[in-house]
Amino acid sequence: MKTIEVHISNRLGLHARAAAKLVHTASEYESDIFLSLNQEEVNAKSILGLLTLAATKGTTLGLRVDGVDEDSASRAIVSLFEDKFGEGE
Amino acid sequence: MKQSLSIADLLGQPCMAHLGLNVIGGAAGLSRRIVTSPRIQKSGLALAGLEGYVKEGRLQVLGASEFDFLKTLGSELAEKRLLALVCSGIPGIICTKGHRPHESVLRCCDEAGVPMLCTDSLTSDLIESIAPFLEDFFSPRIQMHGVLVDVFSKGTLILGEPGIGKSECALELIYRGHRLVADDVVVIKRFHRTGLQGSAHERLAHFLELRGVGIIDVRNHFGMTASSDSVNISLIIQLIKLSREAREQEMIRRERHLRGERMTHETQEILGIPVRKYIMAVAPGRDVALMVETAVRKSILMGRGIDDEGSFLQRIERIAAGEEA
Repeated sequence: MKTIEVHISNRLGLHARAAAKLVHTASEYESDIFLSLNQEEVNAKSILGLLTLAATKGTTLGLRVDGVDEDSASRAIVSLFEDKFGEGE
Repeated sequence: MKQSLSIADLLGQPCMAHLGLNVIGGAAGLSRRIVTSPRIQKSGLALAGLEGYVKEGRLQVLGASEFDFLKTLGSELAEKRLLALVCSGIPGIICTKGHRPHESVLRCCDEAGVPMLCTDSLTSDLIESIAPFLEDFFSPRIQMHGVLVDVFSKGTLILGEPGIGKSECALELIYRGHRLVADDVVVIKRFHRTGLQGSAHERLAHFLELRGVGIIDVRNHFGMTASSDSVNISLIIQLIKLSREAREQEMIRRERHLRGERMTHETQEILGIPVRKYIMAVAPGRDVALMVETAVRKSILMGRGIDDEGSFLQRIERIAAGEEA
């Protein structure tokens, strides 16, 4: 199991489209993937839960990845956050 | 982390409004998070001079009987006991039925930052309003990934990995007249150490997400009776992918069932409370919602002492033993 922190740096935060992209990426992996904020943990493969986090720019989320492909899965998720979900700002 | 509540938070609750609580002392302590217990305490024993009867973190309530008793002590001793109570590390005091302590006690509350409140309501009314709120606030809770549906008033928690069909199953159950409580994020609270109450995350109430369709508000699609705010969780349905292993497990469970080990059903603990669990493999041609509904019916019947398999198997055994044709 891997636990790391990810930082939201895109202007709009973890809004609906970004969340959809995250679900898309997370669903490509076998591992269980969870994101948490203030002790609330949600499944990263499911969009409604992600939206409840209502995470804005500047927020740091906990990422927990557990499974056979946890290394590549966490790398992919981290780079998605670093890449500002491909939004460029 | 131990949960705590400030008196200001408590006063801000809608359920407190009708009590007409006034702060008459110790206002400086209103926003300190000091209430740590879901129970209130009547201060009688402490006022009688018995030490060690003030429980930490509990709101203290002084009603008519406490004030009557203080009168019998004489003003000097009564004041001394009240001051000792104020200084014993309590989160605050509420005086009911319009009683208020002497100014010197209020001054002590101001100095110590211990809020003193008063209300014209009866002690019983106060407790009736405050106790359910505190019980709810302090109840242990968790969030689970799953779907919760009220099926024949039984909270049915559907678990399984993302994409296995939990929301689709919930939709089919709604079509059959059952109610959605929560999709994706289920908030579960344990109350009175025995019950589990499930509800939706406040931002997700009555929403359902269907892959390939989008987010739907079930109230728009099916009307207000298609969703419910909360339900007591009675059983868990674990959905799993059909695999060789899953089939194997199904066979083993069926054998155990037919050997009469019906009472050895599977359970899963939530917040320390065991909940009956059915494991169902999802496969083409299996109507999961129908299976879920049937499992709930079966558990309701079991609760009434009606056991489908038991009576069937007994009859077969009697025939096998030659007792019945």
